[in-house]
Amino acid sequence: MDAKEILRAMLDNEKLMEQHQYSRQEAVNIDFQPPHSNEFLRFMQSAVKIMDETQEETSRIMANRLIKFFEENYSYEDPKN
Amino acid sequence: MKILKIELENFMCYSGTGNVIQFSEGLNLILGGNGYGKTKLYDAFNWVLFDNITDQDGRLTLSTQSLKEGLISKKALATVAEGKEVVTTVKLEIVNQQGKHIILERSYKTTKLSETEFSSSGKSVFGISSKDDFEYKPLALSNQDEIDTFIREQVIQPDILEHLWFQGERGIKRAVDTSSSTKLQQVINKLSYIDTWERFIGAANDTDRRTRDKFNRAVKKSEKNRDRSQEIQSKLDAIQKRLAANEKELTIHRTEIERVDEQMDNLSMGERIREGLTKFRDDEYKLKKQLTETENEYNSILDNANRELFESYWVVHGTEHMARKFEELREEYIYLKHEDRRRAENGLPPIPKGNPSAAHLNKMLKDEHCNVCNRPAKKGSEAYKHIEKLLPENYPSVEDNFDPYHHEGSLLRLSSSQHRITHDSATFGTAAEEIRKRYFVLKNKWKQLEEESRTTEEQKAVLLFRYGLESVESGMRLSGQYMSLSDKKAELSKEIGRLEAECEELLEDQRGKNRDLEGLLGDDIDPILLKQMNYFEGLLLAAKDAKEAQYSKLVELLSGETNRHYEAINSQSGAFFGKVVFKENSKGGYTPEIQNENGESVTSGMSTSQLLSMQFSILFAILSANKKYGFNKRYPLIADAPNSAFDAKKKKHLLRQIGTTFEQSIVMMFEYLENDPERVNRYRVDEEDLNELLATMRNKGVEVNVVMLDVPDGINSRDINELKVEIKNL
Repeated sequence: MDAKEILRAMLDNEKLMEQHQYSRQEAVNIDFQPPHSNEFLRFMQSAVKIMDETQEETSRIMANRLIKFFEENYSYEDPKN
Repeated sequence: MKILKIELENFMCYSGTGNVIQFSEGLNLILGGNGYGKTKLYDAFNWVLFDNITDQDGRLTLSTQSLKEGLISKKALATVAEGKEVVTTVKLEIVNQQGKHIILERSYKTTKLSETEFSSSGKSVFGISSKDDFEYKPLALSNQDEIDTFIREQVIQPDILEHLWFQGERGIKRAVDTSSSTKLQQVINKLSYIDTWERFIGAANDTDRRTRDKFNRAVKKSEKNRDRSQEIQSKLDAIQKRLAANEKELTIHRTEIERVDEQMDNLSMGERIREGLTKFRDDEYKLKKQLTETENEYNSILDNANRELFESYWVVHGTEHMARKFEELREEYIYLKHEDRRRAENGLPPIPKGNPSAAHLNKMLKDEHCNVCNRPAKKGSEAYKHIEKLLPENYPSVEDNFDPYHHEGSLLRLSSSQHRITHDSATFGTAAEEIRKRYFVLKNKWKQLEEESRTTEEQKAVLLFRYGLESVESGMRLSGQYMSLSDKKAELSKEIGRLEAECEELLEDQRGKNRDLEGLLGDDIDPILLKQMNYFEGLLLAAKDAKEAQYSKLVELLSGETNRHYEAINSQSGAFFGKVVFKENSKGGYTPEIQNENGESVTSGMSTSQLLSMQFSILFAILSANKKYGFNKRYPLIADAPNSAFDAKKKKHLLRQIGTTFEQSIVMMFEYLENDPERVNRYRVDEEDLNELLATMRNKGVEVNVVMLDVPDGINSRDINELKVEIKNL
């Protein structure tokens, strides 16, 4: 399955839309480039990319990559949020 | 991947060299009678790729090591001199998805020590060549791992094969087991992208759990609003304990339900055995009845044949000869009669042949002159008396009105009767020819029925042995156990449903309490950690919901595709066939059932052939669900006798669906053949039937390549040491 389709399918979620303040249109139009202005959507862009790239690995290795990614990129307060 | 060619040398019944089948895109039909090498051809495809052939259950368990010289043509083994080697080779030429031409070649040799003893290593030799520009060059693959990797990456994924290559009705069950929702889900997951979601959910679960643990540790360290937070924390611990207990109970119940499912599967296999055995019993009865009827007809024809031939044929054929002779004699008689009369009237001597006729004698007596010796014969003289003596008794006197044509009329009537008899003899001749043909047809039918009867007996014995059943009846008792397990499964499903709902409530409660904690602790908890928890919780939710939505969408797509195939196979049969519906079950899977127009399940009342058509339809739908990357476009379907339970119409429609669904398919089957009246125990193609199929496929734009497996004349097809199968491209 195409990674872009996966990303769109994951963001097509009413609970998340409400919680992270994004519209259905944003979910439908989202791509991997450029990074989205909404931080959660930006996180999801990267997370899906990581999961797609590590598909052949076990879910544990996939999880390690995700945590490492979060720690490297979000271990500070984003002044925009 | 497309299969271009297979070459078989001394492989099982394909003795000698030059056994080549070229395959085309579209539908490749391999037609052959029983024992004519269809299954051996199917075995050859598996052997060359995996060094194994399938067992009776369709599993690739029979290795070269266990088969040894069993892989080699018996004819080749019987004819080779003692001390000499015999080699069997199977060569498969393919073009892979990247357009690369590849030859896979496996061979095995054995040495004949005596008529019954052979010596061989049990190990085959395998090689791969790849076409580079213009020629094939062997690849240097040093070990089995490298070979396996090459086959998986460049040829075909082995675990997909069991869904694409199958043999008989048992094979289709292995390809897609619709009786177990778990197994069906496994097939759907494997052949679709749902497995991807499962892995994503696994990873998201892991990140969520690890983040939550980190958060809990931070809460325990925090001093702010300690009393209240401790209270919430202890409630959260209680929730956690309850959740853990529920999870444990759920695991037990899920294991139990899987065990029950497994038992039910085995028993439903038993149910199917019961159905199978009942069918065998019915078949056996039908076959025996047909056999007896055929035998009686055969014997009665044999009893009557000689008499019929003698009375109606040979005798009448004799009369034809007699009639011809009679006609010659009659013509000679007429000629002589006229000539004699002419001579008598003209006073010429009679034809010198025997005694003069009465007309001559009367004339001579009247003239008192002998015309034979041309001397006077006065009345009362010795000569006159001698002439008188030659007159037949009661012969009309000289004075009587003599009609020389009197006998001619009778002869004419006699001649016309002869003509009628000769004409009738031709009719009798045709009738006798018909009897002769019928005799051979019956003889063939009898032998075929005997063969079928033997096969049925063997299959029944195998089934009884495999499932440890003493008799058909003991197989039938399994249904009672099945029902009680079915009740147990329903109870377990209900309990699992209750526990899952309770877990969902507890999790919601847990989320609320966590939010309370966040509020209480405020900036005492690292905001990055809160964000991490929030984001990974979101990732998990997104993965779970998306998988569920995608799975429902996929099942909807499968449902549509399945019914398209199902309708196409069944709609012409005239019998009710209903609609296939994928019903969601308590385990999150789907169970296919056949429903009537009122939405009621009628699966249990459907015939074996309808259930089989449902399985085919589901399999085709799963393989072709992804329009872009569907397996129907990537790999060829190979099926050996997939449709023996179908009637003629359904068989054609199944073939049509195979042909239109798969870019390449190879189907071995007995259909489209009939007994060859000119050759005992041999078959010929039923051209009318086959042409109809070809026309249908042509209309659908599907190319069809037909190959017939034959046994040359003069070879006893039942003598394994003589058997040689010949490949004929039609």
